[in-house]
Amino acid sequence: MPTEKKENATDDSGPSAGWFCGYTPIEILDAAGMTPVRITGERASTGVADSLMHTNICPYVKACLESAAGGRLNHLRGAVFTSGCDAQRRFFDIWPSVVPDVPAFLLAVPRRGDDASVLAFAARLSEFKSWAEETFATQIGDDKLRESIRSYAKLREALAGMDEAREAGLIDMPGSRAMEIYIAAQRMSPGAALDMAENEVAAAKARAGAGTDAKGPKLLLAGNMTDDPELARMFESYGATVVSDALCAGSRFSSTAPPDPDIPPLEALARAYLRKSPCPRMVDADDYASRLVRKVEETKPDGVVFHILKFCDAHLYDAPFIRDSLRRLGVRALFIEGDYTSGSGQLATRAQAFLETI
Amino acid sequence: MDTNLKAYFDGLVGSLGKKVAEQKTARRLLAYETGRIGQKLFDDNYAHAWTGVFVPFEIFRAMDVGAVFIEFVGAMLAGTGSSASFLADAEGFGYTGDGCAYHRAMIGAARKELLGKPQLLIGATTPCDGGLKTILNVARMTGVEPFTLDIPYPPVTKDKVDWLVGQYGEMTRYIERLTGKKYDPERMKESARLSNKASAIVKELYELCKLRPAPITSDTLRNFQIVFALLMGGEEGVDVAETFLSETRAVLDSGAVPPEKHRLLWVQNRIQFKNNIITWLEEKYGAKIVIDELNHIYWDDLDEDNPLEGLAVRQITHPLNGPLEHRLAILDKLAREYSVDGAINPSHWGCRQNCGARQTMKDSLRAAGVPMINLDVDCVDPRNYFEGQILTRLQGFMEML
Repeated sequence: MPTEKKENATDDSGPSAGWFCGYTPIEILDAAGMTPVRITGERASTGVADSLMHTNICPYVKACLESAAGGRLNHLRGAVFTSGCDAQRRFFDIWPSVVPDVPAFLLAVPRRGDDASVLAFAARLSEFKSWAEETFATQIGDDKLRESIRSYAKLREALAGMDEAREAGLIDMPGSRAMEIYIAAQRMSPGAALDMAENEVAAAKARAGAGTDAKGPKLLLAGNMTDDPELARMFESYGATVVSDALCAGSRFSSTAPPDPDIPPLEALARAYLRKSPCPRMVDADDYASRLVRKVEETKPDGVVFHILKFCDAHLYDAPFIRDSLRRLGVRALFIEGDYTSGSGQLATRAQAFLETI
Repeated sequence: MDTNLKAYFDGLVGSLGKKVAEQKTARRLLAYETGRIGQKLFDDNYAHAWTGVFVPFEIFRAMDVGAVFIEFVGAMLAGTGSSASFLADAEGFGYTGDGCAYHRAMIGAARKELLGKPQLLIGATTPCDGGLKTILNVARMTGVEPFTLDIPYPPVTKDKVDWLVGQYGEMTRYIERLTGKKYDPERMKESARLSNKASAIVKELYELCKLRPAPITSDTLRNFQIVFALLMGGEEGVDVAETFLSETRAVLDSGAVPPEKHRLLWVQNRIQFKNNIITWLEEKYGAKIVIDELNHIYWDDLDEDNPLEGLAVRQITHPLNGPLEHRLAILDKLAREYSVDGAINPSHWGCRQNCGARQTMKDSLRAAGVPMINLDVDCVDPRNYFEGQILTRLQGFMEML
């Protein structure tokens, strides 16, 4: 399993470009001949990043900045940031001072999914495409872009199918494993990722056929850039099963619908990304919090673990509403503000106590 | 101040109205007009809006919408020494204490129905995530439909301006639908004319502050433009601007210009609750804040025949919108034009967009020969404010200057 978190490198041999936010249309990077690698941060001290930013900035962003400042992202050919949140915007500002030789692009992503926003986003994607062509010395024709779009659509479909099979109990795949697959898939070419995902699902199906039977409470894991499978593994070690997620690097990655092949590809990408399962940064009425509560109503997990990285305003402002809504539904929920480390004794104690209440 | 604010604004306007009639001073007039804005939140002749901080108030003025931005409420509560209970209320309901206290105080105030119930909630994606999420949370609490202005990042291009102008159209229809108020292009034209008139006067005022010594004290223009924005598009905005200008000219003409040894730039917002920092800086070091970052008319006059385009350009090019490059250039320009010796950034706790930028701003100003100090103060929450520590740090900074 290609799940090493420290290297931020792809398993593929080709050149790579880094990305951070789920609203980055990585199809454009792939079409430019880059392997799009979702950057994850180091789970270590962020002393340098603290001094470059502030202690009260998103720990994921600071962990990535720490890697960048330590020269451990110098292998990238380019890096793509978005207007996803204040922390990421500021990371883009600092990037040239810590990684001067890796060109960066800031993609402004609208907050709504209406038609006017789609067209506005398509115009920004055109600028992004031009930047990619110049930075990576290539031309991205419509055919090449459509091919990348198809490749990622297949990958997303496979991952979404994996999620459905897990939720239905048709395959034997713990949530921690699914998280590993998701992260790995976002750090390699779409073709290689598809092969990996299909192999994993086939193996999990075979295991299910052999008669494994998950017991214990079924959990839904929600949150922002929660990319550490250890979190799910901890709950699993206490007998719970993480059956589904609402995570940025998890099921939200596969929620992007296949872009419409009958309209210009940039517009199709713009529409697909703006209308995927939303991050709380989006402002449409059917927002992240509403959908999460609805998902809980529909899937009826025994409990919800809401893991939010500290200082993420987009998520934290939603927390009281979500907490209140879940309480009304009678669903137990554990709210954790994480600091992008791999957990602690205190967290383990809270997890055990939570599971005992279910 | 746990009761409805109507009585507070009525009392404020009543007492200040008398004082203004006796002697019209600039700060007094600004407070009076601000109180009148507050009164509109309870006046049935106006629609009632709670908004983001950098939205085009000229449009609201043209539609008889009484609007205040949410940070105004947080600042007002801090200024009257009553923010703590509203902050505690919001925290008790689950809002993190690590977030911006301007917004948390507003959430507490909304939960306690301090400002009644708004008819309109209009947020913007600039300057920060927290402000917009506060508007959306208040929408959930009150059941009021929100509207969001999605501000494109600079540089200005025609498609971005068109997109934002289209959103203004949506916004006016939203206001019409929820309040029955009508958008009248002729009234908008008048609003733009008055906005231009006021801006021109304020530019003159700022020019005077570039003189050495500046004919102001550190508090003359405290919170000025950010509050003044509420008056843009109305006659009272022009009146306030003229009063500030004439008062400042009178100081200059009298020869009684407050002395100064050090000229300072204040970055972003002031500390809103009572504190002794400014007095201490003036008395101990002869230091004067001659320019606040947000006291800056950076935009061109609005085209009165096509004001929405100008408002769109103004929003897109706001220094706090988008990447930091534009803001750094403006800070550099202000530092040069006002001949400052140093800069103070309170580095308001919980303000991600500012805290995340502080080292970059510091480096940029340092390269221009202007040292900057980051204070790490929560500008609205006095509960963790320890003035001694702040003064000790400032002492080191001032001695270095």
